[in-house]
Amino acid sequence: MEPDTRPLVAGDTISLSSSRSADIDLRKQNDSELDRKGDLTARGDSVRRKERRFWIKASIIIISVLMIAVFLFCVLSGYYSCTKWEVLLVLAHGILDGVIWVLELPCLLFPDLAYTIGNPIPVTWSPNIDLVVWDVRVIRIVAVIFIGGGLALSGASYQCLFRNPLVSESILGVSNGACFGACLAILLMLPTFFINVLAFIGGGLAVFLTYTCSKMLRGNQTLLLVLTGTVVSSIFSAGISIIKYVAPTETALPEITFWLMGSFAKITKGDLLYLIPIITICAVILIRMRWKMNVLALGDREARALGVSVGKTRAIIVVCSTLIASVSVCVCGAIAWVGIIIPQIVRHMVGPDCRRLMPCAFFIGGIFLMLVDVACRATIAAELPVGVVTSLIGAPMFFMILFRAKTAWA
Amino acid sequence: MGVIELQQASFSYDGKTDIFCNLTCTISTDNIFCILGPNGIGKSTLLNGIMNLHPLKSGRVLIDGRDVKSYPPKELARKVAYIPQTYQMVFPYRVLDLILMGRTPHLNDANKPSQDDYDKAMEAVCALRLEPYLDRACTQLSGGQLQMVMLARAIAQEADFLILDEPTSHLDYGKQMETLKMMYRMHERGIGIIFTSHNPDHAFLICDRVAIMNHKTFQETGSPQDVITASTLSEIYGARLQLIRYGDELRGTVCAPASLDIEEW
Repeated sequence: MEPDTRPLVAGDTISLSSSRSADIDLRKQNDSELDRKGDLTARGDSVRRKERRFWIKASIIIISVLMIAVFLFCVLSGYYSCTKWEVLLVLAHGILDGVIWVLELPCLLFPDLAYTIGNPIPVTWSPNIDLVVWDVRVIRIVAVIFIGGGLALSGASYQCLFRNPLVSESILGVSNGACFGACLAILLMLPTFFINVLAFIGGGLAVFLTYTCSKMLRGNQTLLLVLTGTVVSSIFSAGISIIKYVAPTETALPEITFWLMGSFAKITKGDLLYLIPIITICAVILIRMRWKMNVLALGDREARALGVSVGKTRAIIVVCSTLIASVSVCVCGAIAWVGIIIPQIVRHMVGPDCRRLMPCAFFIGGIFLMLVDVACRATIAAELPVGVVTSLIGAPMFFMILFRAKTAWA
Repeated sequence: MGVIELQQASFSYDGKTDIFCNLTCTISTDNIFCILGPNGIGKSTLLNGIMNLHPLKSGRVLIDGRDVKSYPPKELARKVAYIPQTYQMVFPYRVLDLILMGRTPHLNDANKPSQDDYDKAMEAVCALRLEPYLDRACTQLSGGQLQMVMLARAIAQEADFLILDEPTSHLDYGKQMETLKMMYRMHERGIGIIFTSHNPDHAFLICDRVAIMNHKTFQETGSPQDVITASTLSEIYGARLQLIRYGDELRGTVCAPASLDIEEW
């Protein structure tokens, strides 16, 4: 088998040079492509950056305006008999009180500066309205914003982490796990703090079980994760049933039952004291990790090859997301669908890039749940359970998204 | 100048049967190093071993004299860039974002890409003429375009070594040439290239070192002209092959069936 030496006919496509170091220039281009920079780079890039900044500004403005509008709408609507104008006055009065308190701070620090600023809005309403607006409606709406935003954010994080647009805290079993933990704590008559702790442990256990079980099986991981999540979820829901069965009918059972139904009606200032810090801290951590989440969504091996320490990052994201989901379960029971449809909708609006997806998901989740909550408490005289309404809205929405975006996940 | 050293490297998935054992080899940034071998012989596994994506059973991989297992992921990613054979894109990231992800090892913790990172990414984009695709979703790209995007990402990563797992598989002929050319250009810039291939012609065209992987080890290592012979190829691929030379250079060598008679293949 002697090598056959024949000249190649299409000689013009290959420049044969005698020295090895000479380039194998297949298209006879003299400039090295890797050095091709030029004006095009700079110009194109600055245009792109400007465009990007414009859109960031625009979306911040749109989201803030929407947020304030929906907030006002929610504060104004309700069944307490008072005029809308009164509610607005109460709101303005309260906000001015806050501003005045800040302005009077120097007086507290330096007693020599004795000045007082009067609130320009005179109190012409009964103290009950004050109570309704500030201690009932505003507290509830603030809690709703944080829970809605937190659930959407944790859903988006789970989706990136597990590389699966079909998961959320309820599908992974976190909601049921957290409910199970909380019910156990109520059954054992533990104080509120331990209800939170056990809810977190239950949620964490659920996501751990779901993930490890799906990894043990071979096949389509997107599907398997959803399936094992369903299995784990149903195990925990069976656990909840057992707790309800053994719970004493006089004390723990009614408490568990009402708590499981979940609603924002019972939210107090005390709930906000731990709800807001925990969700804020977790949300900030998650949003700060959004670039790593982008890389992580490419897959474990690629993420590692790109220099992300996968184990550590994954642990932080799971802990934060699970903490958010568990805390919101503790405050208002399991709210399904927010964690799955909001990231989906936002992904359709701003694209899959977590740098935009994460903050947008938080705020749009908050806005969405505010609207759902106002629908719950202001459409009919009796209050609807919030989970029912999110399911009624979420399920058909999810189907629509599945229908429209079938190509994206195939 | 960077060096990757394999010292008595062995790997096994189940702890019993070795995929490869006692591999010893030194690759520097001066090399374009090609690993040839039949299907399923463990070429990809070896690359994963070098990247510490699958930890070795025994032996060591040293990069610049330091064991890969002791590298933090970020530092390792600054030394070695890796392009896998297949990608599973779940989310339709834009091409520019995907290329920017190559800058990840150069970012601080929790940092987003800065203007500088955008510039580096755009340089890579220009080098590979990917400007028209910047805003395209990467799930809509063809295999060849995606390969170019991955090369751009590797350029933006600015690592000392680039490891490619069968970079020319499932590409058309033009895209294969383009890929090889870009690999050569990166080599000219002082980046060491390590890749696996099923095409000995490509080894002839751009490589200065070739390893034949067979029977769990490197059967031979050396310059393509020394290592790739008709008999070796016939042995590893289990077919009767010959080498045909064109032009007046050894690089112009292609592999072809020894005979046109189908019965004799």
